[in-house]
Amino acid sequence: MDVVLNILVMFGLFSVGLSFLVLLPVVGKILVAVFSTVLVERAVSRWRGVKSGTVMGAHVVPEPVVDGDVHEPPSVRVYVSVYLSLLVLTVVTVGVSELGLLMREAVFWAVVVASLKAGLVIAWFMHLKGGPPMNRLVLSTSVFFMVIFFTLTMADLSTRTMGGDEEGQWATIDEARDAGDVPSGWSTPTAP
Amino acid sequence: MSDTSTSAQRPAWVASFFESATQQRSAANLGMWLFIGQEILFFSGLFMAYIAYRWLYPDTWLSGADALNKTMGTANTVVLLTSSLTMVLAIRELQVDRIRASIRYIVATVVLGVVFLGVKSVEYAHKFEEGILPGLHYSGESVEGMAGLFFGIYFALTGLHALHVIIGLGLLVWLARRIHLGLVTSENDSLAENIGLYWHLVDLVWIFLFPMLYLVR
Repeated sequence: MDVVLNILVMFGLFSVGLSFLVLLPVVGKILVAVFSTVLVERAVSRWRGVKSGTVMGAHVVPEPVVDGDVHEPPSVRVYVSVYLSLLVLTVVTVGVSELGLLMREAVFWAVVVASLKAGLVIAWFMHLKGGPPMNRLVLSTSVFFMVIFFTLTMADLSTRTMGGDEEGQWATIDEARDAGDVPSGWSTPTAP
Repeated sequence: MSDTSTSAQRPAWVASFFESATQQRSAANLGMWLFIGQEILFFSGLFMAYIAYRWLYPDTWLSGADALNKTMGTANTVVLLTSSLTMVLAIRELQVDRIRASIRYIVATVVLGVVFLGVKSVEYAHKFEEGILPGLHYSGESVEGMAGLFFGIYFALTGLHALHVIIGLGLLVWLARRIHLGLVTSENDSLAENIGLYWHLVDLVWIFLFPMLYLVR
């Protein structure tokens, strides 16, 4: 049961990562909204007395599909907001690690926060957002194959049986470890 | 020679086999993304080793994370994130034709990269003093269980990442020179864009390395 749970957790984590990349434009918009860029934008546009959504048009107004020739770089303010969001998320991930969570929860939150940070870097610093759709396809494909790689390897590893006793009972690594009987192939080598 | 109007529209830096500057730029961009896809798969092998052995030896991984210096790891994270910002600003300044500002930002990026490597080497030096070496060479006392395995993966991951930083620094110096010489301009900025992408990839790898090695226990 525990094995199945492990595989499901792995699957869950990485499909979150994958769908994150596929839905990048939408997720990215929400992220930046959360991290105050839109608030800053509203404040600035009100201050300047222009229509909301025109100051940092790069992300508030939906961009036309770029044919590679549009060369309007995003504003400095967008970059600085993304940078500040990254710093905030770094503080969050360090803070979470101080909470003393159980290992599985700690791994979960670390992966979630790291994915958010990666998403920000990929979308804005690497200009995946608003760039040619082909780039998104290339990245999604390589992440997809990474997921296959991780999932199948862990599916194998976590269901493998280790050695066997006289009655032919085979044990998974978890069971062997719980019984204090880690099979020799996997045990800690002792100093000669 | 046949048509002067095309040669007037066609800058010298567009290779003969491309129809237009636009096509050359998108080809360069796509090529870089394919390289990044390849790099992700390359690092995923090491990440897989980390995940698999973490699953097999959770106790070793718990004490291993304790042996690493969280403060230095966090400092390096901030340094690398800041360098990503200066990188992206350098490209932006180039694209709006502020050459001097662009070069200044590239220099800032290089300085931050060197700071990152400096912190990293201090960290490595501490580890070596304590006898923390990869694999069978491990002779430290702080970590129980398969310490050699944990630090084998630690040194492989951080070492390969540091190698990427070193290569990136070389590329940045080269880029600054080419911008200075006027060989990379706001029109012909593929090189700057692609080196920028490479630098962000280095940042990206560290974003995952940092919590995996230093934080999660």
